[in-house]
Formats: sequence, C-alpha cells, structure tokens
Amino acid sequence: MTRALGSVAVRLALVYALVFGLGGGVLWSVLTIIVARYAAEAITTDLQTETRVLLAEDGGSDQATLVRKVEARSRVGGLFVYSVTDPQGQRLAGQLPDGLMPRQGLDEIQLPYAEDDGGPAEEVPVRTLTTALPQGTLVVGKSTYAVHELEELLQDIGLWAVLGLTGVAALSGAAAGGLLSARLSRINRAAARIMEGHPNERVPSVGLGTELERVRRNLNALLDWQQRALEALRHVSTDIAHDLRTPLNRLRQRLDRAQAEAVDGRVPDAAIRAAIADLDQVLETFSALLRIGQLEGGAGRTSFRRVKLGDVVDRVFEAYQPASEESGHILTQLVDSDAEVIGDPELLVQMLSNLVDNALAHAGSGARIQIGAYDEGSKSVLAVRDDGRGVPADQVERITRRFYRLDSSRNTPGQGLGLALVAAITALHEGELVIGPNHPGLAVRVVLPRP
Amino acid sequence: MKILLIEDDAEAAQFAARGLREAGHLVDIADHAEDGEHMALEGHYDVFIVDRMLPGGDGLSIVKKARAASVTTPALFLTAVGGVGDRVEGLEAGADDYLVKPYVFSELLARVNALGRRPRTLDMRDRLTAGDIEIDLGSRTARRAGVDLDLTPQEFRLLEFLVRHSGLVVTRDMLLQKVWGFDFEPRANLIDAHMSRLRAKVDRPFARDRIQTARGTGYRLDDHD
Repeated sequence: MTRALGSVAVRLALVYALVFGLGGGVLWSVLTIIVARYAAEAITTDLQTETRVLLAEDGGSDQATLVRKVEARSRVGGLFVYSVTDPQGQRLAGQLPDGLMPRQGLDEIQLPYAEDDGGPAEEVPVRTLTTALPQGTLVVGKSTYAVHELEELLQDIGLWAVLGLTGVAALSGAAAGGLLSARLSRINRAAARIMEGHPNERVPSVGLGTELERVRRNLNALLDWQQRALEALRHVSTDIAHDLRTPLNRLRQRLDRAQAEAVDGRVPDAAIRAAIADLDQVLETFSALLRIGQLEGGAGRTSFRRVKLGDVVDRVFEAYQPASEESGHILTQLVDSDAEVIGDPELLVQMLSNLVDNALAHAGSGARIQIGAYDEGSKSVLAVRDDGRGVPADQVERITRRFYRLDSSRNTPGQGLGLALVAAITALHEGELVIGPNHPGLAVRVVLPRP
Repeated sequence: MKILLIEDDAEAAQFAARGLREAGHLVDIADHAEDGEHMALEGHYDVFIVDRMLPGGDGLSIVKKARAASVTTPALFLTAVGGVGDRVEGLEAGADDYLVKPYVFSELLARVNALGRRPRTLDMRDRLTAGDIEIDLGSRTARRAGVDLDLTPQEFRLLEFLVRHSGLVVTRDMLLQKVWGFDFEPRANLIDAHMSRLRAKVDRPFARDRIQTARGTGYRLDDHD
C-alpha cells in the first residue's frame, strides 16, 4: 500500500482529484447560490409589480373594486394567490385559507395544495407580500416551488458534475504519472543493462520535453565520464601488471645472486645498495603510474583556479637555471603572454618541469633549451624547445605512450613515463599536446584553452 | 623531544620508533585511531607522527580534532595515501608536513627535527641569525660577518630556510617542497646546483664553510660561533 502511494501515477491521480474536486465543488456551490438568489429576487419583483397593478387606480381605498379584481384574477387562475381582508381580519376575497395571515411586508408561508387526482395534500412554499390598505390588507403570493426545484436540480447536477470532474482528473493524473513512470523506466532499464555488463549502453531518448532530455544528456555524460575513468584505471592496472614484472624480476635475480654469493651468511653491502636502488625505481614507477591513472580519471580538477602562464614559466626557469648551466645546457625563457588559464598551477609546473627534464636528458650537452609561454589565436601555449638531437618523425606519435623509450635513450635513466604524465596533465586541462621538429631539435607545445 | 607515533603496522612503527629513539627522542606508539586521538589530546608531545589509514578512522580526523581543541603540536602525516591532492588535503586538515610511504628514515628524522624546531607561535621577529650570518626578513637582505651578501630572491629564500633550520639537516626534498613548492621529484638535481651558487656567495669569500653537506641526505647550516 505504501509502495502504491509512493508511485508518481497514484500521487498525481490523488492530487489532481483533490484539486479538481475541491475547486469544482466550490465553483458549483457559488453558482447555485447566485442562481437561487437571482430567482428569489425575481419573485419578489413580480409580487411588488402585481401589488402595484392591483392598487394602481385608487391606492386600495375602493375595497369593492379591489375585491372584484381579485376575484376575477382568482377565477382565471394565474401565477399568483391573493387575499383581501377587512380591518377585522375577515377574508373578503382570494384563496388564502382563513386564519393564515402572513406578516406585513415579505413573508414565506406554506400553503396546502391538493393534487388534482385527490392524492394527499402537500404543502407548497409561497412567498407573500402583505400591504396594509386604508381598510384591511392585501396579500399577494407566489409559489417559490420552482425556485426550490431549480436549486435542487442545480445541486444534483453539481454533485454529478463535480464527481465526474474528479474522476476525469484522477484518471488524467494517473495517465500522466503512468506515462512519466514508463519513460523513467527506460532509464532504469538502461541502468540495469549497463550494470549487467554492457558498459557502452546509454540511456535512450526519453521524450516528454526538454527537462527529461536534459536529464538524459547529463546521465549519459556522467556515464561517459565514469567509463573513461574506469578505463584509465584498468589501463593502469594492466600496465602495472605487465611492466613492473620486469624490474621486479630483475630485483629478484639480484637478491638470488646476492644470497648465493653471500660469504658466511653475510651479503655484500654493494648488493644491498643495488637492490634498494632497484626497489626505489619500482616504487617510483608505481607512483608515477598511479598518478597518471588518477589524472586520466579526472583527479585534480577540484583545485583548478586562474593560473598565469608566465608565473609557471618563471618558477620552472628559476628552479632549473643553475642545474642546466651546470650540465652544460643553455636555458632561456620567453614569456610573451599575460594569458591566464584555468588549471592547477602545481600540476602545470610539474608538467613543464617534466618537459625540461626530458630536454636536459635527451637534447645532448650544449643544447639550447627555451621555456616559453605565448598566445596563439584564442589559445595559449606552454612550450619547451631545444636544438638537440630531436626525435625521428615516425617515432613522434609513440613517445607519449607509457613505458615507450626510444632505442637511443635506453641507456639514460627514467621509466618512459614522463611524457605520459605530460599528456595526462594536458588532457586534464583540456589542452592539446603537440610534439614536432624544431629544425633542429624538438618542440613540445601544450596548447591550452583560455577561459 | 617527546613524539607520539600513531601507526597500526607494528613492524613499521617499531622501525620508525627505533630510529627516532636512537636519535635521542622519546617515542609513544598508538596503534588505533581512538587511542591515538586520546593521547594526542591528553598527552604533552612535541611532535605527532600520524598514519592516515588506521583501524578506527582516518588520521586526518585526529589532526582535525586536535586542532579544533587548540592543540598546536606540529603534526606530520606519514602515510601511503599519496595521490593527487592528498598532500594538500593533509596540510589543510592542519598538519605541518606530509611524507609519503615508502620513505627513507633519514628523511623522516630530518622532518621531525625541523618540526620540533618550529616556533609554536608565529615568529614575529624580522631578524634571524645563525652564527655570523644575519638575515633581515623585512628588507630581504643578508649579511655575513657584517658584509652584505648579494643574493637573488631565490638564494635569499634558500638561505632563510637554512637559517631557520640552522644546526639541523635539511633534505633535498624538504628544500624542493618548502623553498620551490615542488611536490614532485624532478629528474635533474636542482638543489645541488642552487646550493653551490649559494655557497659561492655565502662561504667562498670567508674562511670557514657554514653550509655543510650531510652525506646522502642533504645539507646543514653550521650555527656555531
């Protein structure tokens, strides 16, 4: 029962019924009262007119004429009942029974009424207008039976009309709710399908208007986002499984050898140091992978704010300048933009630092390395260019892959994750990573949208 | 110093505690969030070392509660929780430092010593000295033995950090984080290059070297007269 009450269809039906029932009832009652009052007023007007006509010639001072007029009208049998009495209350003419004397002015009395077929006498409500004459009184009355009839008829019609309206309202409420439920169940079905293992399934069009369409679009966007995050994480776990096995295996072999070569159970210090270095590299790779996975999953966007690209370049340049000079490189900076982007300054600094690390490691000694920030149309660019060895054109696309290392750089330290991290941070900022030749050397540009 | 170590992994706790005790500190260990919280609020410690994933709760809430109770004891998170944004979250919770596991013990010791050194209230002095080195935080100038040192703003920040921690070992990672704001480890050895430039200005013209190399860990500023 409570379950049924919770459904949209039942609730809408109840609410519609209540609103239309109450509204219809009030409307009809007001209508009935107005009509009845109007009819009653019409009778009063009739009584006043008839009285005025009867007393028109002499104001009722000539009683004999009045009696004659009344008798004539009574014989014809019209809409009115009359009574003319003398000052003692004795009836001189008219149909009102003796002893039934309405009050002065307007009054309501019950008049016995015999059916033509001799059935039991009934009482008919009669409205009377009693006027005092110089001698006696004049009573003019008119049945209000029709008014009461009308009132009752209106009430009956009203009752059925309101009941009908309520019924229709309840039905349409139930129909609207049912329609909504049916459309919403499409969303539920899609959700069930996705959870059953069809991650590519999406919510079909729901119709019924722009609001539901917006819900559908947002749900699908949410699903896309979720799926991307999930795939990124799955990717990372696969990478971890495949690519950490190699260095871990190397570590194991090293430890095996150390154990075999141990003299009197003592492992040489050098072996331990080498093992620790191996392990450190594994851990470093591990955290780099985790970080890339998190960034690809969208982590870090919560700390986005306005970042001035010039500041990012300044920080990286200042931090790297002495070290690059010591390693025989010429590091310069070129900031030609006041541009701000929406991003995480720490991640952008890390990204740029990674690119400079790459240039320092691969461009070769004596190379010039330029860190720059400049505008390109509606976008802004962070770039690191060098005039070193560069990357063969057919390899450019591959170097952002995880663990990919050019044959020529196998002997330098690193795990091949630097550019993958750069790519992840770029993607997080909705930017584009463009790697190309610098004639000579390599130009890595991160093209970022300006707010 | 009296140190509270909140860590549920018994072996990890013993490893850290042994090292800290060998360095002359007193160490109490709590292996449950509730015990840790109670000890942090009731005991009188100089430094808290707090793990994050504990039985009974997140170490984050221990630090938050301590700060809410106006306990200003410096706190360091020592945790495997090291994802994007976790460090910021830890510092925002009221911690003073954040070290991600796995860690090298000398790194932990250096950071704990640095925290113990930190003045409990905001340091309002604008003049710091270490031996014959004197720095003026207001005008951002430095002198050694009365001679003005011509430092770049970067070199000044580096020297200021060394002076604030004079006599203590500061690691390269500490310098990267606190002086350059780098929460990651660049491949290039940035710190040694900066340090050799600073040495050229602070030590080379003088008879005695103030900036000493702590082998394998970092640097130390000699503050003896």
